[in-house]
Amino acid sequence: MAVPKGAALGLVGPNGAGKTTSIKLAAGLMPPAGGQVLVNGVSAMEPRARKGIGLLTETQYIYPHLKVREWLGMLAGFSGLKGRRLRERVDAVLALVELTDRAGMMLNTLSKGQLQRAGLAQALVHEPEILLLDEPMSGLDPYWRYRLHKILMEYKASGGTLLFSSHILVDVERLSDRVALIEQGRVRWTGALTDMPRQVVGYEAVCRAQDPGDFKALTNGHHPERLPNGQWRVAIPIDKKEALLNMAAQGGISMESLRPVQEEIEEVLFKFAGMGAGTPEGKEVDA
Amino acid sequence: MNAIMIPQIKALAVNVWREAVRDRLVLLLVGSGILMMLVSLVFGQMMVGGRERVLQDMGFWVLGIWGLIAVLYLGAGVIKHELQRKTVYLVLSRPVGRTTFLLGKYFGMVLVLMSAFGLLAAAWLLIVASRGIHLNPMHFWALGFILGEWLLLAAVSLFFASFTSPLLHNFFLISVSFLGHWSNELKIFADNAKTAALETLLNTLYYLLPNLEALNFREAAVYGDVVSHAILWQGVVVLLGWTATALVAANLIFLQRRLL
Repeated sequence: MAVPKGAALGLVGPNGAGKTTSIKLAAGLMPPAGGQVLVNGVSAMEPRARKGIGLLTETQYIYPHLKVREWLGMLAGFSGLKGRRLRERVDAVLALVELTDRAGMMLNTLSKGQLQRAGLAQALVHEPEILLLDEPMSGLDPYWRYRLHKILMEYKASGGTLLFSSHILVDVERLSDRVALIEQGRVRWTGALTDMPRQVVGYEAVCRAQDPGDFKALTNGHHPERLPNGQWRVAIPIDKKEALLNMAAQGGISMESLRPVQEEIEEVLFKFAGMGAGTPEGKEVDA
Repeated sequence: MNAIMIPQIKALAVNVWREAVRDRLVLLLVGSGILMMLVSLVFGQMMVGGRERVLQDMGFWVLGIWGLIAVLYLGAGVIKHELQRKTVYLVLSRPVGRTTFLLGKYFGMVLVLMSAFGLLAAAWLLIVASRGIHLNPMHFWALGFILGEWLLLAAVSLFFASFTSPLLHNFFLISVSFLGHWSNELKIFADNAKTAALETLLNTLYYLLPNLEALNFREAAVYGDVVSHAILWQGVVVLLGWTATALVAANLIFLQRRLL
């Protein structure tokens, strides 16, 4: 498994597959049982290899006796920051994760979401070139999931390298250039999600119609969803697409949009892992 | 030693110190030590003669025992808490080596012990001075060696903490402390042992354990004995040698230990 500079690799797989272990190996927290783990050509077990690494764990492991600012300052100091630069960076990341007003509070008084944000702050405080994230969205509310996504996209745009694991495949799809599907400690497949053959399983149309009964023959029993301004969202099976287009051409309905609905990414990945109905047709699994 | 190692050790040490000063039990330990010294004033009043000796003996005794208790408490948790709370994850994911981590923990303990010792010794000196007891240079040498013993025990504690459970750590540390003070008796028992096996065991313990009694100048201070500077400096060298040996041994074990 390799992550080129500036790329984002998402690790996916079932519980116990080895996602967190992969991240621990990359962070030099445990020696590999076989082979080697290199960070910029240096063994991850060497302290100097970890200078440019930021790690965000799924659960935040905190010193309960420390205040947020003290904790960040200590961890930034471990990475070589000191003096004014250290204070500036701590202030900057506190502002980034909107915890400036909590800076003087003990870590054990923070909520789960606040702790996760503090965890992100410590991972970013020393401006690492590589971010290792284990389930980064865990414990975050929808707003902060959105914010974290933006922060990580900005980090990536600035040339940062990302290796992360997530159960939330939408996040993986949004953030990663490539995905590694891990199962039972082995990489079952790696590649870009765009390369993944996702079948079109139907269409979604937004139409205007006087009577929703007009769609009855097209939807295989699915009820259209009413939208504002007299519009309807309709799920159309593949074989009814032509009928829908004909109806629109004859003026029976006014069609605003029509888009293909692709197979869910989870479904495709599970097929690859052999957990679903089988491997996708005509595609070899690259182990 | 690279440039980043010193600030890392300092940051780790300050963290240990912060944890200790925010720990009520550590504060209680120091407070109770000062209280015990005040109690020695009452004991001194009850004596018909030798009040000065009781005050000094009790002060030295409190300093010795409270040091062992403090090291037991700090040492048992210094590595265990890091592993239990998994805080070691974030420390070792930074460019912090295991040796640095261990040294940071040791110097953190040193910082806490020196703070506690400073308070207890200051309280004792105030009490002694308030009773008009004349302090000679040997009092300060004796105090220095008590602090030295605390710091040596901290290194030994780290050695045990690097591979045992807190319970075994406490058992081993208490054994080292007591047998270390009975080191001369161990040699006498070994010389008079009736079986070769017992003689070997006692001799092994005698040579393996630090002779803490050889570093004890409390009686010399109480009775105003003169001890040559050569012996005192020899004691300092022995103390430093034992401390360094314990730290090197702790490091060798800790480097091999699987942490996660």
